[in-house]
Amino acid sequence: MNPLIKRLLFAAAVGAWLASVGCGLAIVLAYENRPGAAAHAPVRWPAATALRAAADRPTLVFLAHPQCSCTRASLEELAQVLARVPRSPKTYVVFLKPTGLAADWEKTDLWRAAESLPNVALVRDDDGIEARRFGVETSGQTLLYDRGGRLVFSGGITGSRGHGGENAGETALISLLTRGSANGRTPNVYGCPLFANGAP
Amino acid sequence: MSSKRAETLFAQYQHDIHVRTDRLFSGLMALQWIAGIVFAVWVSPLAWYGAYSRTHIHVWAAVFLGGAICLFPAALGVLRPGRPSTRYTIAVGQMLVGALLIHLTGGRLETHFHVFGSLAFLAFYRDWRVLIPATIVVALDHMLRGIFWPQSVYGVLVASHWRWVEHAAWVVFEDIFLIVSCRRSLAEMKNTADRTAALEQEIQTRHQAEQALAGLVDQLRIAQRQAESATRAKSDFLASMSHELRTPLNAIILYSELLQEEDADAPRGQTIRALQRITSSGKHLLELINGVLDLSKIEAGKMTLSLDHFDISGMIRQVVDTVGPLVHQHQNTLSLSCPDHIGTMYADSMKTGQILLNLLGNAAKFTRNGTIALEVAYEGSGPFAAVLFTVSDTGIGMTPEQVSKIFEPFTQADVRTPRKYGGTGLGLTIASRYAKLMGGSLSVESRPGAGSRFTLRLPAEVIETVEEKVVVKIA
Repeated sequence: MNPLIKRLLFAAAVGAWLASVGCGLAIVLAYENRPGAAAHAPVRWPAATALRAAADRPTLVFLAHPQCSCTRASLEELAQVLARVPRSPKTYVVFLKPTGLAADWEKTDLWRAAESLPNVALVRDDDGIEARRFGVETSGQTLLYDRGGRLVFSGGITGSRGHGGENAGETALISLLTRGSANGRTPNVYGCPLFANGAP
Repeated sequence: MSSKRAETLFAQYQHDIHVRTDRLFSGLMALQWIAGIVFAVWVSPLAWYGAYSRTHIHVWAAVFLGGAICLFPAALGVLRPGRPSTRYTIAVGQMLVGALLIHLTGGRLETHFHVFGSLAFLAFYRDWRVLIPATIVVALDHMLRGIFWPQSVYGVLVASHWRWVEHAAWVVFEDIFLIVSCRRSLAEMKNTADRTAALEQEIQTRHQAEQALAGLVDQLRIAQRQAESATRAKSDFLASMSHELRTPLNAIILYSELLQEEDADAPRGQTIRALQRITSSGKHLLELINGVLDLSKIEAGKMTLSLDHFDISGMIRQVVDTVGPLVHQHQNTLSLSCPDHIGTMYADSMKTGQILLNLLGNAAKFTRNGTIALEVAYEGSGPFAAVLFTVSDTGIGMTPEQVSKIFEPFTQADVRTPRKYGGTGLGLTIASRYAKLMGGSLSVESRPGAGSRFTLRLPAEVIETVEEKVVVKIA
C-alpha cells in the first residue's frame, strides 16, 4: 500500500479513537452532572413524621438509598459538615427500605458508615413513608430545619453524582449551621431515585 | 566500518527496547482496562430506582470507554511494535487513563500519582520525545477541566483558570529528570554499541589474520612441497645428467681409442663415421653444459642482455633457415606469417632468436607429419608496444599437469622425453627466463593430441632496467 495512504489511514484511526474517547467522556460527564429530582419538602417540620425535631438546635434530615453508590460521596460530605460545625444539629439519616425485600437489605456499607457518625440517628424508612412525608425523591437529599421548625436548606451536598469535595450545598449548609445564613439554599441533589417512578 | 556497525547496533538496541516497552504497555493497558471493569463492578455495580436496579453506567463506561481508551493503543503495541506512532499513541492513551481515573475519583490527590507513575513508565522507552504528547494531554486535560469543571480535577468548587499551569509545571519538573535519565541511558547504550562494534571488528580482524596466516601456512606447505619436488627433480636431472654426460664421454673416449687402435688398418669410411659420432657426442655435451651454465648464470643474476635495434624479419629468416632441416626431418611443413614491413625492435636479438629456435625445435621434435606455424605480429603502440611471436604445432600436446610444470627448471613434460625425443629439459626454462629478462613473457596452451601453442610476448623497446628487476625477482 502507498505509504501516504497508510499514514492517512493511521491518522484517521487515531482521530476516530480520540473522537470515540471524547464522546465516551462526554456521556459520563453528562450522567454525572445530571441532577436527581428535586425535593418538595414542607417548609415547616411535617407533623405526620415519626421523627422528632430538636427544639434547642437545628434538625438535619438526610435521606438515602442504602444501595446507591453515588450516595457514598454524599454521606462523606455529611460527615465533613458535621465535623466542621461548632455544634452538630440533631441529625437523622433515613434509609429507604422498600417492601418485599430481604431482611437487612438496608444494612449496607452506607448504613455502617452512617452508624459510625457521632450523634446521628439511623432510621429505617419502610416503603419510603418518611421520604414521602418530606417530599424527597432522590437519595442524598439533605433537609435542614431550624429550631423553629422552618425549612432553611433543601438540596444535595455533592457537586455532582458520586463526587466528593467542596461544593455549593456543603458550603451553604456549613454556613447555615455556623452563621445562620447562606446563599443558595437549594442546590441540586445527585443520587439514585428513591422510588421506581423516578427511573429514567 | 566500525562506526557504521556501532550505529546499526545502537539502532537495533533502541528498536528492541521500543518493541519490548510497546508490549509491556499493551499488557498494562489490557490490565488497566480489566482492573477498571472489576473496580466499577465492585464499587458501583448497580444503579437503583427504589427497589429496582440495573447495571450502573460506570460499569458500561469501564467496559466501553475504558476499552476505547486502552484497547486501541494496546492493539498498536501488539500489531505495530517499535514504531514511533505506536509509542506516541500509547503515551496519549496512558495519560487518558490517568485523566479518566482522576475524573472518576473526583480529583483525589492520590490519583494524580497515576500521572507521575505513567510518565516514569513511559521513560522505559528511553525516548524522551514520547514524554511530549503525554505532557500535552495532562496539561490540556487539567486546563479544560480546570476551566469548565475544576472539582473533577482539583477537588474544589472554584479554582483559578491558571491552576493547570502549576500542575503542568510539576509534570514538566518530573519530565526534566526523566529526560536526563533517558539521555544518559542512551549515551550508555551508545557506548555499549561502540564497544560491541569494536569487539566485533577486533574478532573479525583476528579471524582474518588467522585466515591469512592459515593461507600463508598453506602457501608455505605448497612451497615446501614444490621445493621438495624441485629437489627431487634436480636429483633426477643430475642422475640423468650424469648418464647423459657419461654416455657421450664414453663414446668420445671409446671412439678415440678405436681410432688409435685401428689407426692404419681401418677403412676410410669407418673412421669418418667414428669421427662423426665423436663430433655429435661432443656437440650434445656442449649443448648440455651450455644450458646448465646459462641457467646457472640466470639464477645467479649474472646474465646480461645485449640490447640493440634489429630487423625482425631478418632475425626470423635466420631462425627459419636454421630450424628448417629439423622441421622437415619428420615430414612437417613450416608455415610463416610475418608482415613484410614489420620493422625493427630493440631487444637482445641473440636471445630472442634462441627462444624461437627452442620453440620451433621443440615443435619439430614432438610433431610427426604435421604443421608447425610461426606467426609474428605487432601489438599496441607507443611505450606499450609489443611483438608477439606465436609458435603452434599439431603435435602430441601436453596434459594440464605437464603444462603447469613445463617452465620449471630441471623438469620435462615426461621423464621418458629425453630418451625418446632428446633434449636437455632446460630449453623452455631458459627460454622463459630470457623472455622475463627482456620484460616479456612466454606462455603455453596445449591439450593432449591437439598440439601446443607457445606465445612469446616481448616489448618492442626492451628497457635496460628490466634486467635488474628480473634478477631481483629471480633471486
